[in-house]
Amino acid sequence: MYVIADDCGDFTDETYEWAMERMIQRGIRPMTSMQYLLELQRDSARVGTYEVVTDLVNKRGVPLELALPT
Amino acid sequence: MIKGVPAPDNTLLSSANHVLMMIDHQSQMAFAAKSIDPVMLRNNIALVAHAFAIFKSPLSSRLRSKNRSPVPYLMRLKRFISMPRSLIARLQTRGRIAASWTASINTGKTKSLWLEFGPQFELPVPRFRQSIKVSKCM
Repeated sequence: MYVIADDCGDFTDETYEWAMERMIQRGIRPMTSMQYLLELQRDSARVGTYEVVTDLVNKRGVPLELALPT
Repeated sequence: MIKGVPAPDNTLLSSANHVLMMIDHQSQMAFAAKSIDPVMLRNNIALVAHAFAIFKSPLSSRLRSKNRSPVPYLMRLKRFISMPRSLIARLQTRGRIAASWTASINTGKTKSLWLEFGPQFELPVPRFRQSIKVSKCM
């Protein structure tokens, strides 16, 4: 069982963290939305879906300029 | 010690070995989430929704339907359904305990789209019949 951790929200950071912690105690594997997408794509040699996945990352992924330190 | 083998690890997800479950999906409640920025949350969910569409993962989703019609949600969902799929609508609120559903999730092999509705709503079947096959599971 996997849980996409950044697709959930809670009232406070504390309640969110402990909800995740409780699930981890029962053996779930946390992951992120981007990991979900890229794990399904798996390999850039899978040309059938490569272009549409790259497009999606450009549209919905965190932009590079936000990821870089200012 | 980790040993390298020329094969993917079996914990890796592929569209054939998992069912995407949306649990308690209530977009109108996003305002209350403080652990993540709502715009980021929305973007992440869009990312997963598109991934589900691209790789044709099976989906299980519960509609919050006590006093709301499921139609707007289904209309949005329809944008992500690019191929004919079978839709199994459970007409009970506690559908997660239905044996057929559990079996389907456990095998992870279904290509069905499972949606839960509250019993008080009629299924808006005709609108969706062209793209998805609807059957009922009580």
